[in-house]
Amino acid sequence: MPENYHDLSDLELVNSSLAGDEMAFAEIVRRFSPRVFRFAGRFFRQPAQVEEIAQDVFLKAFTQLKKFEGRGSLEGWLTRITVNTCLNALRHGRYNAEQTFADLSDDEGSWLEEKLLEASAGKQLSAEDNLIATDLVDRTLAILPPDVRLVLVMIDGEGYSIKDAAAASGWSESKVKVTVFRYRRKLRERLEKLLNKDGVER
Amino acid sequence: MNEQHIIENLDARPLAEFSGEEISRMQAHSAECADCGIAFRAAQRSAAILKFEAERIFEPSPFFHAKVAAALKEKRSSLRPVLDLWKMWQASGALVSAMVAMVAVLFFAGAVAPNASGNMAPMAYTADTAEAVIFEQDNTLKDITSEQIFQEIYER
Repeated sequence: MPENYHDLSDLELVNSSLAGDEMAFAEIVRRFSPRVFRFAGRFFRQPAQVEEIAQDVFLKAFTQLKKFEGRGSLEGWLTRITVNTCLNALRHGRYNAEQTFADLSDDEGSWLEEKLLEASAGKQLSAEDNLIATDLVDRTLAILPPDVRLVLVMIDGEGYSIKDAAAASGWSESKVKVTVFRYRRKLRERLEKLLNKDGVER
Repeated sequence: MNEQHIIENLDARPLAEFSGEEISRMQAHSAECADCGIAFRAAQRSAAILKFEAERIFEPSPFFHAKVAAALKEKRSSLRPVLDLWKMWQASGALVSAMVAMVAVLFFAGAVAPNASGNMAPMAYTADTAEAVIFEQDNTLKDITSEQIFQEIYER
């Protein structure tokens, strides 16, 4: 049994787990938790829900580990399980995950823009500001269906390629392109309305 | 890029993918066109929101790994009877094969053997066999009375 699981490759961890090594699977959980949480967080906003989904994902991965044939990456395989688990949870009404969309008020819009500018310039937001900004971002992004939010954030927010977003979502690349274009425009137009309300000079 | 109205191209790609030169041209156009100016600013705000969302971190609680480990243990114990049954099935492969072979032989014997015996030639009787004594006795003797027998004896 290896002493340092950190040094093992993903495939070695899978093989050890299949051979009954519990520590190897614990290392898989440790290694991929951040990604699973991040993707589940695109669908659900409550930390408890995200955690429950993440637990389901690792249980499914454990029972289906034999099906992982090592052709793709373990990371990609777990991402697909995460997305499917989230979609199933939404489909079966397990969680009422979505916040209702609400247009931001003038003040909220301006405040958020200012804070996001600060954040993008590398300034660390205070815990309170971060909480408020998160809430306002949630409200703004509630216009997007969860699976659309996933691909749009992947491409526009994280810089993933169309191909990567297609692999994660299970959509075709052409569907990703069309959907992202459509919702990018929708989100922009929604924010334009807010800017018009703000009284930006025309 | 269309210099006239940047709105038309604004949604084709993520804002971060536009080159510095393209952004400069957009800004120059936005200064003169109010609609494009608002659209450009909205696109910037949208990009900032999506980036903020992308950087959001959901931390596992301190108990997460322990909870997963406990759930896995439970899962393993629920799977164990099935696994044991499967292992037993695999281990008993030779026995099962032998049983199947035996059933096949018995089936063959049951289905084919009676036909084979039906095709057999009838057994040939000889005068000395018990069958000959029992079945091939002279039927004419059956009707003789006792008186006729005595008469036959004493007359001789």
